[in-house]
Amino acid sequence: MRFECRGIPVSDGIAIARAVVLRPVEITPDPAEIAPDGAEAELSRFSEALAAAKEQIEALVESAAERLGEQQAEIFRAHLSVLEDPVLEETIQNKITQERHNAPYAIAEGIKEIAALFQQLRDPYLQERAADIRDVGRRILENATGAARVELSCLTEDCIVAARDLTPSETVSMDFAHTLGFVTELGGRTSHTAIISRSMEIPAVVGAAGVLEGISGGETVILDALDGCVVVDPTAAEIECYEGKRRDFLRRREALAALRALPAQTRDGKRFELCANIGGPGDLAGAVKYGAQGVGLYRTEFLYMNNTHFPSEEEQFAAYREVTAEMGAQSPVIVRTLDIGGDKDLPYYAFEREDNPFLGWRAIRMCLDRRDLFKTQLRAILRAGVFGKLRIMFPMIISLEELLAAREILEECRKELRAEGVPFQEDIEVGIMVETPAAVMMADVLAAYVDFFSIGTNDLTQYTLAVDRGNPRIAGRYDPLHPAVLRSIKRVIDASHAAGKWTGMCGELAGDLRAAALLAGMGLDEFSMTASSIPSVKKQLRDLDFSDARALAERALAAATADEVRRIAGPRGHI
Amino acid sequence: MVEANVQVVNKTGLHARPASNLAGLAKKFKSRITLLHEEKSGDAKSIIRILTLDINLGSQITVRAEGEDEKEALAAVVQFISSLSE
Repeated sequence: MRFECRGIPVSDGIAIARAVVLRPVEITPDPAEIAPDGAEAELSRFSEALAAAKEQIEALVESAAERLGEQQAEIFRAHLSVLEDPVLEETIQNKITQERHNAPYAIAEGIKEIAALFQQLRDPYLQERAADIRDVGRRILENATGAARVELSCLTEDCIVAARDLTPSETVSMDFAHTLGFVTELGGRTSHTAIISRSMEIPAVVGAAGVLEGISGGETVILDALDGCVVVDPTAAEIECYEGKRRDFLRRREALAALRALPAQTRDGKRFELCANIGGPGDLAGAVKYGAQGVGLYRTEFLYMNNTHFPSEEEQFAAYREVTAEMGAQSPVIVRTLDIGGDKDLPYYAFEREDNPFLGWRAIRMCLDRRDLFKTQLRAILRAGVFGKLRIMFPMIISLEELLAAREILEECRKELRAEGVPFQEDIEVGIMVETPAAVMMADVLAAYVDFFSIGTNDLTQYTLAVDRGNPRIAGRYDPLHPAVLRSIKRVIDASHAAGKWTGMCGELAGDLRAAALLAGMGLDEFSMTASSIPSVKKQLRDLDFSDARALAERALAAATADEVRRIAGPRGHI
Repeated sequence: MVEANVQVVNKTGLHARPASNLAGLAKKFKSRITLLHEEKSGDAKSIIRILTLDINLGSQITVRAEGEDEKEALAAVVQFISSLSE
């Protein structure tokens, strides 16, 4: 019978196959009280089950590390620490000695109690750890009762696995070659099923409440993990429709993968550089995966924010070195110096309250006042540059004086390092982030003193339009396609080119598909964005003729309103 | 008995791995070590108790230690929590 149900899509894709339902055999321990002298026997039954479970999980840690990677192995290491937890042991032992329950019943009740503690928590990640507790509990219980595990390790045909929830123990032993998709009744974005399905690139829908009422096993199921929809016993027309959707998805994904190795080049041969914005070494995997040619913005403030003290030169050096070494000498990394204050606070440093923090003591203003902090960072960057190719970028510049002051401090650091005999990157390029109307208007002057500009469109839009984008009442007025912003961008690009320099962009607009053709047409040299946006922007650029893009940009720059710009730019591009 | 306050500066609060490492550290001491967060409190030697304190980035917690090596225990636990970063 046809049945439909919705859930949360957590791993992209579409699968059509027969369903296999994973229904764990319910173990319902007998609540019967134990004999007056029976506690000892039940206690040792429990401790034997605990020891056996521990041995099994230790083996799983190894198998998971081998088959699924360290991240998965980590889950089982956490299970081990749950098994060794004094609270778990005491809770269950008390149920045997004081409440006179037999071992299996005591285990089931104790686990239920502990899992319930997790479900009351606010943090969704911690709530979902209840599943880990149940997984551990189930394993102890199986060992105490001899009940069988349901194994999915030898599926014989392709299938979609449906379950109330999948435990780490179940997924680790699963036969992924035949698993085309997952659907579970429970779980959220950070549940175990979600994590593993993403890492194995298997489509998955979780939190599909009631889905097991429509599936008993063997039915054909459509799993649409793009829109979060599950159709059981679909009509022939539906199957055909989803087969089409599935082919489109696979073609798109393949096209994106193929794009990875191709240059961001228009049909008539104009090349652009596509880079990633990162917050730290942790984002590098994505940058590499999506084919970033470099890092256009390394936000160093996270190094300061996730810390208990201003990071030392050595701490910073270690982070910058990791990033630059990983990217390699062919892929430049632009390190933005500390951009803090405004809305970004530090846990260990109290900024004075200001009436207008966005117009206040932040970014380069703070660094020029706190030379000690600034020099620590600059020295770390210069030293790390030896391992690859770093570029330095100063944020929030409004005047030549600021730029020269910053450059002077940089020069001082160079001299010190030279005198100390410490190796550093001599030829490091220096640029500024253009995010104030002042820098836009003075771009022709500033261009002579930098190697490059990078336009920070988020702040530039906010400052040019005098619109606080955090204010919901006026959020609609925040519009990077406002002609005033576009004309500012054009002015900056032209000023850099006139001086023989180049301009990049590291704000949201760089990854906006509506803007790619316009920005290319204006002559932007480098686009830096969230790594996952790179393939779509690249595709858009590759489908362009540069001459057309220039004409388009000219029309947009002559537009009177943002709506007119949008009409000229056309609908949001798709691949 | 000694106690001290500490703020959690770890992005993900005290999730699985940090909680597990913290419990491991606490077990090395003979003292009874208690974490207090908002209305709740729990034994720092238990990963279950640590996790169910619902500690997040920015949470202010109090660490209390009681026993023969209480000073060392308190210092180690406070140092561990304040230096977390992952």
